[in-house]
Amino acid sequence: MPVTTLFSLFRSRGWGRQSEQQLDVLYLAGNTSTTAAVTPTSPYSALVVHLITFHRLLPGAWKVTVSQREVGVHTVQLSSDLADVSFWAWVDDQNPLLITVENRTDFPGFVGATLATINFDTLEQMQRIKSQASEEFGLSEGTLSPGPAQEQARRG
Amino acid sequence: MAILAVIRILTGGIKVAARSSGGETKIVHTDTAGRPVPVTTDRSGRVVD
Repeated sequence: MPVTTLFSLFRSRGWGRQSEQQLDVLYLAGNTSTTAAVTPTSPYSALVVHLITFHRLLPGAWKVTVSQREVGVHTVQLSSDLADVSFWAWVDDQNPLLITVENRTDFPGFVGATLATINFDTLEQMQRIKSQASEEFGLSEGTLSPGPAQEQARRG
Repeated sequence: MAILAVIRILTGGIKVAARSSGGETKIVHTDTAGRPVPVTTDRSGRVVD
């Protein structure tokens, strides 16, 4: 089976454990933004967040900014046909993933978010795999998406 | 100060610290059945594992 994504590469190698984490903004006042700093906690010590799917966007005027040291700042305007934010962030206690959601209406609203993650028991485990992935596939820091690694994985 | 945002997370796997523009954020931890889970925080409100 050909490897087509960096995520499937990790899965085929048995690197980390795949899971989804739910984060819901149950209430956000109109014309207000909130920023959530996400870090790993027990039973994990480090994780990769590679996709956030937003759902139940009510009302329909949300702006979301995802930022982290390595991925920089990534801003999207959410709408009914754009609810997936894809990137690749290595997250630990010292490098939180910041998710800012902004309600751009005058009315209170709520939004759900599902974070697709690859979890690691120890920080050392993630660092070792990160180093190996960088060496084999040229995964470089500062890139928003794992495009070059994906291309190499397809060819490889 | 008014609570302007309420964030709910499933306990286990990730922890969240949050702030809102101009007000406070309340964080609710639940188990997989949606039941509230008590969370221990330190004096500054950070979650203690």
